[in-house]
Amino acid sequence: MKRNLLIIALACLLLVPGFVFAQPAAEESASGTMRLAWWGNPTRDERTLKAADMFMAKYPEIKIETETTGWGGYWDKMNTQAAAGSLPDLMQHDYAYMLQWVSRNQLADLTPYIQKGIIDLSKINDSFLSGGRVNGKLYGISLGTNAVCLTYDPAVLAKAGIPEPDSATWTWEDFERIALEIYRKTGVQTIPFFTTDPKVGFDNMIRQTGAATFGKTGLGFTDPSALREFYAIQLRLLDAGALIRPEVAFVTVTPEEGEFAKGRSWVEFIWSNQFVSTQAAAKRPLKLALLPNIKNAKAKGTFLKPSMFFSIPASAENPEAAAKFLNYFLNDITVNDMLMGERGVPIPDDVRDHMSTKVDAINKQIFDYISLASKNAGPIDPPDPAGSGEFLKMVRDVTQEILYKRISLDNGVSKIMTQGNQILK
Amino acid sequence: MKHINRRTRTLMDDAAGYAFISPWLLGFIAFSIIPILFSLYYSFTDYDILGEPVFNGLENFRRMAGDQLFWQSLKVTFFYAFVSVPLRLLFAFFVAMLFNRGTRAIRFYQAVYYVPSLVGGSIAVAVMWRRLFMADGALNAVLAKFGIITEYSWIGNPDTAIWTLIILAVWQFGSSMLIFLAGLRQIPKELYEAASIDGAGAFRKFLNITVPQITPVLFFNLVMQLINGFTVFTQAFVVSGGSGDPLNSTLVYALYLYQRAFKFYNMGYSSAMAWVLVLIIGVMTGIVFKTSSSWVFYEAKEGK
Amino acid sequence: MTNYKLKHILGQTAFHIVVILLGFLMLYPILWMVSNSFKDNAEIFNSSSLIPETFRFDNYVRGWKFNNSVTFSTFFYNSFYYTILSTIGAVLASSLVAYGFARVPFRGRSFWYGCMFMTMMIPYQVVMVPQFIIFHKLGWINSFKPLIIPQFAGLPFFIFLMVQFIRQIPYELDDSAKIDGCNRFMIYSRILFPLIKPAVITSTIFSFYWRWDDFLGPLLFLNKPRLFTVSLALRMFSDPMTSTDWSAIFAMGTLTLLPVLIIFLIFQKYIVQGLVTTGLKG
Repeated sequence: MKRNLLIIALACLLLVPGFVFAQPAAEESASGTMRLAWWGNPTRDERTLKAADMFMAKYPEIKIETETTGWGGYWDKMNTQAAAGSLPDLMQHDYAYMLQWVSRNQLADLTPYIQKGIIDLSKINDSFLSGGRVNGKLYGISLGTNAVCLTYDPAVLAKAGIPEPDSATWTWEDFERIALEIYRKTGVQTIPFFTTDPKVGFDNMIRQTGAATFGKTGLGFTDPSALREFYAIQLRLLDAGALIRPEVAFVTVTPEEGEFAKGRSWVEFIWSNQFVSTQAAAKRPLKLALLPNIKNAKAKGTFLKPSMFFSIPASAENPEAAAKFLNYFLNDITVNDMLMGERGVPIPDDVRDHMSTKVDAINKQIFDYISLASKNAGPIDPPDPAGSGEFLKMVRDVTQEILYKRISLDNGVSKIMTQGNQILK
Repeated sequence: MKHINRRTRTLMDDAAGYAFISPWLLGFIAFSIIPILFSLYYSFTDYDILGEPVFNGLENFRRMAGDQLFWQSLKVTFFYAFVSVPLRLLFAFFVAMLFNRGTRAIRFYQAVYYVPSLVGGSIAVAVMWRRLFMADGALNAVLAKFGIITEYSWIGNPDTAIWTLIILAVWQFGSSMLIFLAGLRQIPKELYEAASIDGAGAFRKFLNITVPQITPVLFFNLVMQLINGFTVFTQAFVVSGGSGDPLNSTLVYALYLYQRAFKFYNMGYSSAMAWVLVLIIGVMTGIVFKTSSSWVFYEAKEGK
Repeated sequence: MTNYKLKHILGQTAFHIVVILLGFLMLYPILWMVSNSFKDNAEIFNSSSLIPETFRFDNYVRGWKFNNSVTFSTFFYNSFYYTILSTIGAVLASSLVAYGFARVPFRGRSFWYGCMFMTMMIPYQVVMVPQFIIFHKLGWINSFKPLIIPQFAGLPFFIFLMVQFIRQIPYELDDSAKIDGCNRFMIYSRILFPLIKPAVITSTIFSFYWRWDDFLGPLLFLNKPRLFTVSLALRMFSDPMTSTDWSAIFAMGTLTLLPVLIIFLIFQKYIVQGLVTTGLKG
């Protein structure tokens, strides 16, 4: 009987398979492989992958593994990875989240790699680096300059016999009038404003009143009139039939499948660096304009923002390779020739000068827009506070409620005010 | 002597028994009991996974009571479960009745009707489903063939989005159908023959014999599937694009719990939500055990 | 008489027409997906047709390459690795445990059997977060360990299925084996295990299906593309923000369904049996 038990015990041991676990696709040692993650779109994915290939051809000892998703899925994924301590070696980062990540000790200071000469910042004006700096340490390097904008289809305006707006001076009243007239004359509609992140839209209007969306605690504004106007314009257009139905606009699709690319909207709201992919999807000439002014604007709504950063997580397994790639991506002229400023206008002087001589027509438009914006921009607000994720979810929910007409305009606005203050307290 | 003998035998039986069930027992402790205890503890804490859990009493549950999204997700989930499951079972029952005859082709038909159940849980189908119900999807193209030209976005409209998930669930009625078919075939023929002699018509036979005989099976499957319905995640995650869009009309409970845990990092809050789910399912399970003693458990047949 | 016969034939015909039409409706979405996997991207939109204008097999080539740095070879390899190892673990462990519950009269047996039933009722969401934290602390994230090792504890559903099967086997077999000098483990491995083959096969098939389709587990525990299973890869592939290549997505979707369908065609009988045993009796 004793033997029986022994056999049974052995059988059980065999069933605990701790020692038979060889991983499939076994990990190479840290020496050669680095992981690179970004959020993107098809254009950016293609170019970034090509950049990785070019890098690997030049430095065959380093192998790059890539991870890419859309904006929303990206932060789910990165948060989970942060919790698990398994972040990639180099990750694309955003200004809004920088502070939260640094305060959670998730990012590495890049200064040592600059001192070691792996990352070369000699050609970069210090003002471009300030966005990635927290308490004197550098946690991310900007990959380009960006500003919020509106892109429109000049052919539609011409067809409706409307002169193109002077984007530095036009107002939301002008915008509304143009939208209605276009609809009346051509049947082309207007897309709801910033469906993925409505805050970007009303933030611009709130900034024009001299306030900010986020305060030190709670919301940074007490007068909801700008917020109200943001929705009121859309509702008026909706009632006139000139706004694309929210049922269609809020289904997330790729730029190619979007209503603007299909020619059903004369306008689309984007960040300037997204103009490349928007243009690629629309396949027709487009123009860029500043967001319209509100009545009696007290300050500039637009601001220049580092489009995105590359950051090295504190838990990176191969930070040296990451730093090397970052430097290559930033400073190498040939790779930037291929990237074509898709992440924004490059920040090293020599790269930018080189680019401006040979950019294609589309990037020329972005360069021009950025210089126009810089003349019409106010200072950037501090990065988003903790709880901003929940706040943005709430804002998007309420935006849908208002545009789907599940809630009145006034109730919707006061909901954002009270819940916003609660979430951000 | 005999007495001692029996005792050693009992001891040896104990040892052998525990040895045999040890894989499950160890797994039960490591992957169920310990996580359950942890989860219970977390549900009374504020915990963002990067820091340490901070005890905050009933705060999570208090917050839940005032959380509109919590109530919304509960509403969506109840609606989903209580519409999709009865519909699926009715459909399954109806088709099983249709198939309960001796045609040779039946086996082939059964297989065909079962295929959706087979693939329904896969990501491939969920991804395809989203495409099917978009404004420029196949459904509207089919409607156009019948002269109904529409640009209606079935997944973009808060009134219909949840129905695309319900249809996805009902579409997979095949497995329930097979169960009912087997149940129908187990009904003794004599019952029907006796009823025929008494002059009962087809409808009377259905009402007086088929329905009572099949009801226990039907009811058992109803409750079990409702429980499963409460925990639906993957389909909602994929079809709604992970956000519960539009207007949170597809924000099922499990999806909201996932968002709380891995998007907003409220591990404590999401643990508390999980326990509310246990409570709901506990009540449902209580109904199973209370209302029928015919199906579960073999306690009486213990030993030799 | 002829009248009756005619009526019978008409009835039969009507039955078959209804059943075939309904069957077509049921299969339509799947056929649509398969047909889309051969279509041009532009042809997918606003089209309900099941026959592509031209058959484009390059969708499969493009889909298989994924993003060039990792291909579907890796994802299929991972899926098979995870599915097969988990299934072996789940089925072997379940049969061992089932034997213990069904044949060994140890103290506390019904208590533990009851506990097992309770775990069937507890939703995964309860243990999800703590399990994630525990596996994280063990350093198991980004490996297949958190997905496979729990399977080696056996699955309540399979244990239950096998207990039911073992109970139908007469005790005389055990007794005569005992007289021949077999111990319990030998009785389990040589006598009973072969006899519960139908339950073992059923469990194997279901385990294969569940693991193959598993999404939440891989979503939580696997973050590197090189570890992705096909479900996870397909979801990333179809991220509404990044990909427009619907033909390639549908091509890979079709491929991921193939193993499931092939196994169904071979083992149909066992699947029905498994469903019926558990669905009828609880």
